[in-house]
Formats: sequence, C-alpha cells, structure tokens
Amino acid sequence: MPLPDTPEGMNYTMRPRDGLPALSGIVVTALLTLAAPGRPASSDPSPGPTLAREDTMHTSVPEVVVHAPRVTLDEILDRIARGERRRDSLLVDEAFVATFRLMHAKDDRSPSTLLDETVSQVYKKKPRLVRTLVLRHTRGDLDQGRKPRARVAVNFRSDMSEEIVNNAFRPDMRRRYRYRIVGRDILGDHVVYRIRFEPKSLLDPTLPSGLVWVDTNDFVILRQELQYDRSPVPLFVRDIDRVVIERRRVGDFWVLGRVLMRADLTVPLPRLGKHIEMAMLFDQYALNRGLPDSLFTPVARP
Amino acid sequence: MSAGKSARMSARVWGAALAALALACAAPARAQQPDAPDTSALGRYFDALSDSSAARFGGLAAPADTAGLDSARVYAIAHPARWRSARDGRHLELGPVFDFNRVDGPVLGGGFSIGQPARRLGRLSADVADATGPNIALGGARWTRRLDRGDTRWELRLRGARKTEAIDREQGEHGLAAIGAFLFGNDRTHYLQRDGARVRLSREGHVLRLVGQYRDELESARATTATWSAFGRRARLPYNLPAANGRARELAGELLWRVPGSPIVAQLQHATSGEALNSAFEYRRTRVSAGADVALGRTFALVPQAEYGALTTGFVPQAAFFLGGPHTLRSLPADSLGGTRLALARLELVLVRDPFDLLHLPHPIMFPVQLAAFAAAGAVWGRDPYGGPTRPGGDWPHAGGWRSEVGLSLMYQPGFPEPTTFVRFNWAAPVGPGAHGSKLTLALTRGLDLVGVFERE
Repeated sequence: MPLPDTPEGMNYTMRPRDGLPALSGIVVTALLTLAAPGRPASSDPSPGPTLAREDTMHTSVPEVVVHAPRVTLDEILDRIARGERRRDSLLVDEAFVATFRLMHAKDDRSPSTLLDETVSQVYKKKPRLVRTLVLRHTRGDLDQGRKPRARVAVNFRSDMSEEIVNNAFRPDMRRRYRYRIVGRDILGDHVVYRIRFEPKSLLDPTLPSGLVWVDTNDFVILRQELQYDRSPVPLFVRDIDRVVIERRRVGDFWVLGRVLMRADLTVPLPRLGKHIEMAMLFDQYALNRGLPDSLFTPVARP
Repeated sequence: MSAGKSARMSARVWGAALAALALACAAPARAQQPDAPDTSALGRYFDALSDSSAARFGGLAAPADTAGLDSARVYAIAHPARWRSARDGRHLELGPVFDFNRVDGPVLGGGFSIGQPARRLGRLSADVADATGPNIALGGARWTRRLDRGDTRWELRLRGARKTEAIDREQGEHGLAAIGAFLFGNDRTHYLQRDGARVRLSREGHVLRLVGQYRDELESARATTATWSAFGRRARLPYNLPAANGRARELAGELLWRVPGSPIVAQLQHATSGEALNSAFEYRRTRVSAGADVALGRTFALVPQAEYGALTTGFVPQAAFFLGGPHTLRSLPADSLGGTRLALARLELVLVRDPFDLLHLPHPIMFPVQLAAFAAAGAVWGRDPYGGPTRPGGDWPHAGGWRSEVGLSLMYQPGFPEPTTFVRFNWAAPVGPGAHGSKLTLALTRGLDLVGVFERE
C-alpha cells in the first residue's frame, strides 16, 4: 500500500517483521491516548478526560529500493565451495585432541553409559602428513573385569578440509542434492543463511538430508544437522536420530568441534541394549604452528 | 653394520625423539584455546544451539576429561608402539570358500587376505578350493594397491588364478544363483574356465572412472558334472554351452561417467582381442549403457536404463551378449537367448516408502519393503552362440526380434554389500504377439543394474 509521505514511485509494503517504525503518527497518538487516560494536560485546565497529543515521536523511515540483484542460491553454493576451499588452503598444519566416545543404553528408559572412549592426539601437516597418538583408552561397564580385547584404532586422514562438514556442498556433490534457503538470520554484523539439502536419489539410503548454517562473511559452514529418511542398514539399525555437527571458532578459523549421533537398533543386543550413541569431540587446537616433519616419522625405540 | 653407522643412526633416532618430545610438550601449551566466551550475537546464537544439542545428547556431549593428557602425550610420543596391536597394518583374515554350480559341483576350500589396499604393501588375498565334480583345484592370488590423492583414487590390481566363470560377462551376483543351484538345481548360467593372469589399473574420481585392463588367460570349455541338487531335483539345464578353447589376450577399457547437470550415469566398455596381441581369438566387443535415478517427490523414484552391445570382427561364445534373467529381461529364463548384438531398455517406477508404513499395517521393523513396477523391451540378434540360426538385423534388430515385458517387484534393501543392493522378488509377464506365461524370480541386484557403480560410494 503506497503511503502518502513516501517518495513518488517507491512502494512500501508493511510486513509483520517491519514492526514499530512503520506505525503512522495517528496510531501512535491513539496508543498514547489509551495509555494515559487520566493524565492532566497543562494547556487545558478543565477536569475530566483529556486528549494528549504526542507529536515528538513522529517517525518517517525513508524507503530504499535495492537495485542489486539478490544473490542466487547457485551463487551462494558456489561461494560456500570457495569459502571452504579458502579455509582449507589457509591451513598448513594442525594439532588437536580428538575424543571418540561410544555409549549405549539398554532401552528407552535406561540412562546411557560409557561403552568405550579413546582420546587421541592428532597432528596433520600438508601435503599428506598425519600422525595419531592414542593418549587414553577407557573401556566402559560392558568390558569391566573381562579379558582385554583388541585395542581400538582411530585413524585420521591427513586432509584438513573437514569433509564431514561440507560433503554435501562440494562441487562434485552438487549434482546429488537439492538445496533451498529456509532462513536468513541477522546476527550483529553477520548474516547467517540456513540452507536445507535433500538427496536427489531416493534409492541410496546412505545419503542424508540436512540443514546447514552458513556465515556469509566468509561463507563457511558453522553447523550442520543431518537426518536419514530411512535406515541405511534396516536389518540392524532401526533409526538414526539427528546427527549434529558443530564447528567452533579457533583464532581465524572455524574448525570441527563436535559430532554427535544417536541410533536405535532393530533388536536389542545382549548386554549392549537398544541404543547406541557416538560422539567425536575435538579440542585443544593448535593451527599453523609449523609442525616439524620429524614429528610424523614414528621414532624407533633405540 | 659398522659401529660408526650404528652410532650415527642412534643419534638420529634420539634427535628425532627429542624433537618430537619437545614439540609434544610445547604443543598443548601453545594450543589455541577457544577464545573467551564469544559474546557477539553470532557467538551467542551458536552457543545457544550448541547448548541445546548438549542438553539433547546428555553425557555423550560432555567435554573429555583432560586431566593427565599432557603427560600421556609425552609418553605416547616416546612409546609409539604402546597402543599398536600386533595385527595393525596386517589385518590377516581367514575364510572358507563354498560354491556350487553344475560344472564344478560343490567347491570347498579356504582362503586368506592380509594387509590393506591403502597401505604401502597393499592387500594380498589368495584362495584354493577343490571342485569336487571334475576333481580339479581352483583358486588364485590377488594383490591390490590403492592410492588416494585428494578426490582421486588410483588402484592397481593383479590377479593370477584358475577360475570357473560365467560365459555371460554381464552376469552379476552369483551367491543367490549358487544357493538356487544347490537346493533346487536352478542353475541356468553357462560356464568356462580361465587360467592366467590379468592386470587392471583404474583411476576414479567423483565424476569419472577410467579403467584399463590386460589379461592373458587360457579359456577352455567345461562340461556339466553335477546334475543333482539337495532336494533331489535334477539340474534344470543339463548341458553347459561350450566355450571356444584358446589363449585369450585381451586389452580392455572402461569409462564410467556421471553426465554433468543430469542424474545420468553412463558407461562405455570396450575389449579387443586379436593377432596383434598374439591372441587365439579375434573380436571387438563394445557395450554402452546408461541409467538415471530420478526422484518424484519424496515417495517415488523413476529409474530409466538402457544398454547396447556389439561384438564385431570375430565371434566366440564367451564374448557374445545374452538376454534373459533378472539383469536383462525378467520374463525370460536367464541367458536363454544370445547373439552378437544386444539392445535393452527398461523403465521402472519404485515406491520408495514402505507400503506397510503408508497403510499403517504392522510389520517387522527390520524388513521395510519397497514396491516397483517395470516395463522393458530388449532384443539380441546376429550369430547365435547356442548354434541356432543367425537372427536378422544390422545395427538394430529386425522388427520382430524385440521382446517386451511388464512386471512388479517386491524389494528389500539391506544396505549391504552396496547401499543400493536390492533383494528382489520379480513377477514379469511378456507382452506382445504370441506372449504367454509369466515368471517369478528372486535376485540380488542394484538400483541401477545396467551400469557400473562407483567403488568409492
């Protein structure tokens, strides 16, 4: 609806989110009238209800017509791919502590208890150096008092691009997903896009659908939630609950912080139960600190 | 080793150890701790989401206990073998070999594999088995080495073996067929024996796979030796199509391609054998196929597929194309027709969601099923490997050579060995002039079964 005080040729459409600044002076006046029924007016000495007229709060917001074309979804996806590549290119080496934790619960009512936890120190350096040192291995209640089994091995790739975060947004994966913007949030001087993606193929149950949060300042994915429409392995797994993948800021970089997942089994397994939970926690990051190559050569025991 | 050399090595080892220890001690102290709580709007927003996740997952999301990690790190650097299992890097696996077909009879043996393809020494596997029908030893050894470079995977495979293999090169999975043959004598595959070696090099990315292969194998015909089955039924097919005997030296290539901007996957395969390779056989075998998996909403998937094959220059039965069975025309018995050319097209509509769920009917959770309706048409023409008259046609078959069918499938998707593997019960009925009868089959197939699969998926 064109407002009378808007410049010619500019249209203004009132939307619920536009809020108070769009209220016209008369509405403000009416509200103030209702809010101050017994307030005496200095200009009118007569008793009884008086009409207060507030004329200092009249606000007129000039309209701005944005001529710049809105960034298309394809352009956003391109920028995400570039943003992730740029993030990866700026990382030369990294060291972090990774915790791989498995928990289980017998049924819906039982609390989850620890099954296995491995804490590892991981060193990575471009182009292809990686070293993983197990720092601590904790066995849960299931193995207490039993003969130790084969020791757990947690392996990391030398790659620092964090594919688990951006897999669906890699250029070669774009053909396999559909994307749509489901929201934009203005957070201070950041605009965060929420983008939903779904696999184009319905035959492959291993492709998840999900939602990502992308900061448009550097077009890096900050958070991801994944869902599986169907169980990828229905014979054993009934359902995989929402998978949460979080990044957090360390210095100038957003790095993987946490991966959380919960799955229900089709049949409760003896001693193991019906629920399996898995977490990968990443902490104590040291980025681009110039790790020496000698660190990646396992030292022989003299 | 001289004392001086030993001393120099020891000094190097200690030097590296000290450097690593110094770094290990220094690294945690210099670790970039997350900055003080981010009080910006962005920080508060994601902290709130993170807190919500932590509340949802409870103790699973609790931070790891860092007590003692610094000293553990120092110790781990100095003792890298502490957590290393004796099996690390070797992964020795032993397993039995069971098989059954009507030329070998029961095949009993064992095998092993050791190592990992991505490790420096690769993966070596070998097996040996006794084919109790003809009383011959079968088996071989394979070595695989894989190299991942970014998004590209290189793989080298070497094989030296004596194997009984299907004459139909496009025949897929053998496990269910072997069970059917053993229990009910339901074995319609034709076999030959291959003795020799082959080498295969592949390069695979997300979009393209290129494969080159050379093989030098003695191919020989086999005869039926087992006409019995566990339930007393005689073998449905008492004879075995004889392969041409001779040493095949063949150069082959494959291209598997995701067509840009489309859901189409296309495959081109070509094999050549001839005098230039000092082969006993002269032929050029080319096969082109394509398929797509198109989602219609979130409930239906449309799966069109097509393939075309041509055998030119020469002819041997083991290079011919075959029609019939779960991977081609399901209303025909497996491999019942053969020729030097093949054309096949199939359109399938799959109800991806479990119909029991849609109808709110109770059923076992571990067995969600899917329904599919399909229609297909195919033809083989040219020289008949079974010795029948040559079927007329040039690049395309004579109009009367086409066979068509429609059918329904009840499918179960177990999720392994490949994500799109289906156990399918098919009901297929031929359509067209003179068509009669219908056929029920049980098969293990993939969603796109006429094109290859990217191995990294």
